Amino acid sequence: MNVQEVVGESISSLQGVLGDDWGKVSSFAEKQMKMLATQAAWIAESRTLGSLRNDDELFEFFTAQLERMTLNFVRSLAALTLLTVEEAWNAIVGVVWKHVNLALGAAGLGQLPVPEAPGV
Amino acid sequence: MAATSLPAGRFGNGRELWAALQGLLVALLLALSMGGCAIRLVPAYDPALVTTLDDLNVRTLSLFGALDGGSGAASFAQYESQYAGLIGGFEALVMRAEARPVPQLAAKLAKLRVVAELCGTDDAAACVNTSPAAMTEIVTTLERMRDVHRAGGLPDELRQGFKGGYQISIHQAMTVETALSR
Repeated sequence: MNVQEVVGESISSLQGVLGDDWGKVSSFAEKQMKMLATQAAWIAESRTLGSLRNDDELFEFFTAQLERMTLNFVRSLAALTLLTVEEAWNAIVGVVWKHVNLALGAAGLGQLPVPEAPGV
Repeated sequence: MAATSLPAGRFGNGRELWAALQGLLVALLLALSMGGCAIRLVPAYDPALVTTLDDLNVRTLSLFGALDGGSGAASFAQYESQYAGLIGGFEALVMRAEARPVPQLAAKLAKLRVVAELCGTDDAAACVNTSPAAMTEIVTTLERMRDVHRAGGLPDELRQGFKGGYQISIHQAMTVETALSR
């Protein structure tokens, strides 16, 4: 098994996954932060000049909701990051096992399936 | 309020959030010393859920469009079944998304301090299966908008506020669910 070839292919595979996935994660984050800020600005303006000025209960509804949505944004980012890690990890594992099986095949031995982590 | 700062929560700005995510990445990669095993960290993709979510989104945006300019309490009756259909539709999706299993490996990783701090909980389901919370928020938004509309009419200004909240949550749900297709 040519280690340099395995490393090179792993890095290309990883760059592909990280490039695509991280681009999606960062553009998601950017859009969310913009929308959350816009919503916060709307709440502030409505409280000062509009419908929320004399409606404490509805003002409380929107502010509490904004807090929950912000927490869920962070959790969504964590989930997308976990997905990126999963794809990156499996991409490397796929490359490594492909080369292991090439070496086994060259030695006249049977192929091995990619093992899954216990409890998956 | 500065556009780059988060309006509420534990991260004062985008820079702090990115630092936390980098910490998460490093901790996860260190924790994943599983040798050459394939892993699953997030729930499985559900194409039927995505299709239904898409459909409900179109119908919800259509409702917001129909209410553009505001709507009086006297007009509520013509929208009542639309509200009911959308609220019921999203509630059904919440149940569907909550029912899917969280990978056991994810449950273990959720106990890591850096993950628990980022998510504000060590409950793996809340941290990894985030769409139920986003869709529950949508149900809350639509129910409140319905109640306001029915009670005294829906001014256009409030319609905009409800729509803003809706768009944040639907964007979260659609992005995560679509990403699960890997």
